Amino acid sequence: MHKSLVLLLAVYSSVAVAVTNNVYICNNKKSKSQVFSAVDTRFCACVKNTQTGFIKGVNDDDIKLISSSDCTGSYQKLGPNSEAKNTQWVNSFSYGKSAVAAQPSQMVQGIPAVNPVNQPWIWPLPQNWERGSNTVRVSKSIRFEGKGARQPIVVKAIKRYQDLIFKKEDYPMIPYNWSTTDNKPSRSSLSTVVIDIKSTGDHLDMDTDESYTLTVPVSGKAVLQAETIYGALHGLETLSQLVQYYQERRSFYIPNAPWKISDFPKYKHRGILLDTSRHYYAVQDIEKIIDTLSWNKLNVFHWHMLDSTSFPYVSKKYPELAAKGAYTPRHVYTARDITNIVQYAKERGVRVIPEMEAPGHSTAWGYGIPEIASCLNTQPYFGYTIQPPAGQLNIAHPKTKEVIYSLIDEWAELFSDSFFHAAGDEVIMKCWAEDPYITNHLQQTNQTLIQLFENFVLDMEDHVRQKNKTVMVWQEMLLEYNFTLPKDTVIQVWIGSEGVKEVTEKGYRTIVSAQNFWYLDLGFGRPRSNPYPEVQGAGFNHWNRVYSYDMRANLTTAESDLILGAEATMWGELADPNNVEDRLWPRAAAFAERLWSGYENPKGEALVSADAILRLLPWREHLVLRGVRAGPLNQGFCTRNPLDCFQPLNPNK
Amino acid sequence: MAPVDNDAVKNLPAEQPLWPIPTSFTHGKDSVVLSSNFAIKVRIGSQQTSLTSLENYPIIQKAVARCMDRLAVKRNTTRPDNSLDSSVGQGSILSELVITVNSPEAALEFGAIESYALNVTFLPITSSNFFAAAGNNNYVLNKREDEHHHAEILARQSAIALTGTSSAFLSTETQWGILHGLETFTQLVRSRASSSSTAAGDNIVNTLEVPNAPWSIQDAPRYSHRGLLLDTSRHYFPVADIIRTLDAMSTVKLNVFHWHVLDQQSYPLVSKTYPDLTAKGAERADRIYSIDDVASIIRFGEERGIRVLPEFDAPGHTASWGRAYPNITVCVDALPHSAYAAEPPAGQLDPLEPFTYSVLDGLVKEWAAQFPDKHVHIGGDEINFNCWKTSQRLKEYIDKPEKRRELESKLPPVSPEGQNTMRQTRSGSQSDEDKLLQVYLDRAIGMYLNQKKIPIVWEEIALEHNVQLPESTVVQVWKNAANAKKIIQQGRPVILSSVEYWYLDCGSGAWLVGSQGQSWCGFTNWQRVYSYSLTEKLTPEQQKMVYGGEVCMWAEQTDSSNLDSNLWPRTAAAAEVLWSGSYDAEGKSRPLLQAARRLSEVRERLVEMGVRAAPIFPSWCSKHPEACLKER
Repeated sequence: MHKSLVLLLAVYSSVAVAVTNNVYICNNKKSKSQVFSAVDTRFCACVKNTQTGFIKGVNDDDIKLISSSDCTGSYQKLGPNSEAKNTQWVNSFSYGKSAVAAQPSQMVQGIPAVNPVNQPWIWPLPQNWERGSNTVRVSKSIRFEGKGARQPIVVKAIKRYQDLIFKKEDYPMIPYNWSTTDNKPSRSSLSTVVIDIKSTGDHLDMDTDESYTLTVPVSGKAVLQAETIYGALHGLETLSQLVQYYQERRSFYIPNAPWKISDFPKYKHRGILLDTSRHYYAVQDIEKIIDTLSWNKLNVFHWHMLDSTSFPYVSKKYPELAAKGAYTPRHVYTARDITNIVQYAKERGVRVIPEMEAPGHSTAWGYGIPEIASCLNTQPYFGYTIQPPAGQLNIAHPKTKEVIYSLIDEWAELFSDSFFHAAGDEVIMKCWAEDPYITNHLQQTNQTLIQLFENFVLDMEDHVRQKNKTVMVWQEMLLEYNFTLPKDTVIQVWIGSEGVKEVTEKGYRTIVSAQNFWYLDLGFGRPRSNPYPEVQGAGFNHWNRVYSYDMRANLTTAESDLILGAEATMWGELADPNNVEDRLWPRAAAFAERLWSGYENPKGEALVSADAILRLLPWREHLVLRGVRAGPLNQGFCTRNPLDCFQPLNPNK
Repeated sequence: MAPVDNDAVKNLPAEQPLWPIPTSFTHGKDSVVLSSNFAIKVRIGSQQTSLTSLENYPIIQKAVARCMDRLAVKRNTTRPDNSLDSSVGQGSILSELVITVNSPEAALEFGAIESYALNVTFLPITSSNFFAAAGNNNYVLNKREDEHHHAEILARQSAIALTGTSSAFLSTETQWGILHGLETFTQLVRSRASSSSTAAGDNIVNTLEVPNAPWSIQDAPRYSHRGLLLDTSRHYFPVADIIRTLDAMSTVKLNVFHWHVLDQQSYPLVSKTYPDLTAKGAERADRIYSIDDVASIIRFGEERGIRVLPEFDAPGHTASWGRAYPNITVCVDALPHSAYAAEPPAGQLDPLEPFTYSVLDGLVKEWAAQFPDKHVHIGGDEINFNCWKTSQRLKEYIDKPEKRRELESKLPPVSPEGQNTMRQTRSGSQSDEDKLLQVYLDRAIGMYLNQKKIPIVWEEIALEHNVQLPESTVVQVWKNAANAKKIIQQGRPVILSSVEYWYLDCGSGAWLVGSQGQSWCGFTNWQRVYSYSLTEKLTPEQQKMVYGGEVCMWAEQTDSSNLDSNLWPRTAAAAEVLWSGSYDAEGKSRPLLQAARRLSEVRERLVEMGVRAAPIFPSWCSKHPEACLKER
């Protein structure tokens, strides 16, 4: 990098108007660099999603390196013309000549902010909570002790939470309403949390016990008890949300102590689907999403890695699939990337479930191995696929099975989870019906296309089962094709909420992703050319629509019991790392509370959106404080004064 | 200028996706390589100016510096525009761009000349330039002195020597034309990985070239007012966000930053005269724009040829003014807000309160000095008479004509300025309510006219009220596209922002109350934005009254977190409509497929400059736009 800097300066000095400051950001492989420049004014640059290995500044002023994403909080100084290494922790930096960032004005009082705390500001809301009226100071050197605190995954979590607990904003958009708790803090401060975990293992699957209890007394040690380390992780998250920054006292407190919380999830499977084929996400982007999942007590990352548009997985046996099917050599996931992500997720209590999208949506396989694809890139694509490019796996070709079984074998090892998604959605028969290889095969074997299709997918699913995995499939397998699926198959409903009834009626377990409520990618027009008025495409699912959907509607108790949980989806046509966080959050948080807290509390009282919004507003602000680019729920005025804005609708209208 | 020719657009080389498309251009097939000591020279009038003496022309000086900086980034960045084949040295050498400008200190105002002509010539070898080119042999930096590398450089030099020396000229009338011309020039330049960069790994030195030379471009904007409205009251945007937005605007040749700085929710603009307005009306202590902030935003805009057009929305949308001075507003925080205002909190200026005009007069004087633009947007939208009727005095004025003279007598007299050009918006007699509105408008507009400012108002003032307005008043259309014609028929110029096309905030669901529903206005994807015809159903004479348009970024559901992805690349789609117009000479729209291909590149460019622009389709489609965008 030094050499190219020299060159840059050489070029630059020939202009003789050097007023620019440059900051160079490179990852450790030095394969990627970004240059930021500023003229005259001081800037804050967010590099949250940038792979920073080292940062170098060429200017006559200091650079401040900061771990928050908006240049707030403590910083490390980088002197003129010097370099900082191992800067992965840097999420923003400010640089330039003079500060023009808004300086807080002493004279500004700000318009009033009245945010009720009828329910604790914990998201998702715990099942059982009791609180008092004391205020307990939290020691900055808070310690975690007990045998549970020495389990490796917990040790790492404690390290994270020692930072997360003390996130603060000097001018919070939603200041905590201290009038609801005793304004005189107790003399002693909370300096010790005892962590008690019953089981010593770190196995994580759908049946892992995630419950925990947390007590915070007015004086003395707080106690976090859990059956498993994963319950303890949820407890740490809850503890971090109990702590509030008291602006006037410049310190951290837990209001409304003593606390007694006993908590567990209503649904076991609480996930987000991310599509990394239509747009690529770097490993760091995925890790950031997994972080945010864990903060919302979501526990499944459904990785829709492959699709027609690209094949980013670097297979050991068939490297040509990624070699020709990935966007570029940079847009790939190696076995090592996957192992890292699975481990990263596990340390946050998040399962990673891979989806092997087949035999539809699989054009990209055909770039590497053409003989395993049918109707590969047929033009025009209309009639052969839902969206371009056309291409499905050639289900008659022996090589197809060979390839897909090898990939299943590879993934069964890389992804330790006991669930494996075998897809089976959006198949277009015309693609196969016009492929002479397939029509010949049908004639020779005297079977129909649908029989061939059924045999292919059932064989594929059997192969998955042989790896001791539970098979997940999309709803078409059962509801559209009526394939005879073993009863242990888990059916993912997506086409509409009515599918939940149809699947559970047949006695299958289900995971709900009804697109009319829980597709978070919709509402931004279709990606394809599509003139108005059709341009609006499917509807945007507003946070309250997401929150209000009851997946148990019209089900018997026995049918509801077959709901394992749900996933909100983030398909990738119009989302990539630039806008995905705004699309996901805070709507996926609204979804998360439904899955964790359920529709009623243990006393049988309904959880309603009118209460939820009062907690979701501060939670969104908190996500932003933690560096997530969550979108706003409404204007700033309403954020500070929700009761002025969230009033019942005019009954006369 | 003649409209853009669609056939020419179709022939624009894929590797040079110019945006917005220039009015007219021709190009060839040869490649011109920028030498490593490539420089930009400026000629003011007929006089050759050295770069150091450009100090007297800071806008030009900084524009040149920025251009050189961006070229350096292209040279040193890892993503070369690899669509070019990797053979080196077919091109002739370009060692300078010579800029000629006649009026380097033209005012930045509506109607300023922004045209430019850019020529990049390709000169084949002649005996006289052979040696000049051969002497220019350092364009590939020699870092590794090993023999292999040395041989490679020699090979390249000979390849260059066989071609020639090219030149580039940018001629403009004003410095604003230079900014646009340099932007186009930068878009013409592509980078190509040199083998030295890939070999060394950490040593990124790309070759810069202008493919498809010779280029000849003549370009001028279709509309003079090409803007983006940003609402900084409903959510606060840090100065860095605004500056980044201005920077992005300049790359698509937008020239108006309509700063909707105040609204009912928050009063973030610091006033010297009335500091309490911010002290009590800003939503948070650090969510304010200081006098220095405003100055730096205006300066940053000016350096990029962007006018900062402030809007002081009144008399509606003013609850935040009443936090400091309760007696200049009425119905503040009245409930239910829907009876008194479009959004909470309700509140409007009191048009019969003398102190209202004291405050306003102080502010208008201050703003006039603070914001240099000749135009100022004075708001006037969504005035709710129910709000005014909550005040005894205002109700009396409306209900009792006999009291009006007395009530008005307590107010400052109407300024004589502009009175002789007042014209009624409609025929017929004024309603009692509009008479009250007129009391406010006469005085408020008079204050602006006294400061030599030309007012811009929202369309309600002209279409939904029957009031007197100065002849020069510009009207901004937002409720629907067809309203433009009605206003033009009144003889008033328009700025177009129809919600049907150019409201970028729409589609994120209703944000008020317990709604689960869709927004009151639908999401407009880039193609919808691109399809806004600013001249539909207008006669050629009426079309002249269209000053231009603005996309609007209202901030109910937008803040720092999602600003970029809401704005971009849709704002770029509007920018091309505004700069290049929508139609060719035969009235046909530009091919959408071709626009999609270019826009997807614009989006990549924005992401590279640090703007979090949203994707317009899956990555696969960037490589195969024809497959994705073919009409059924």
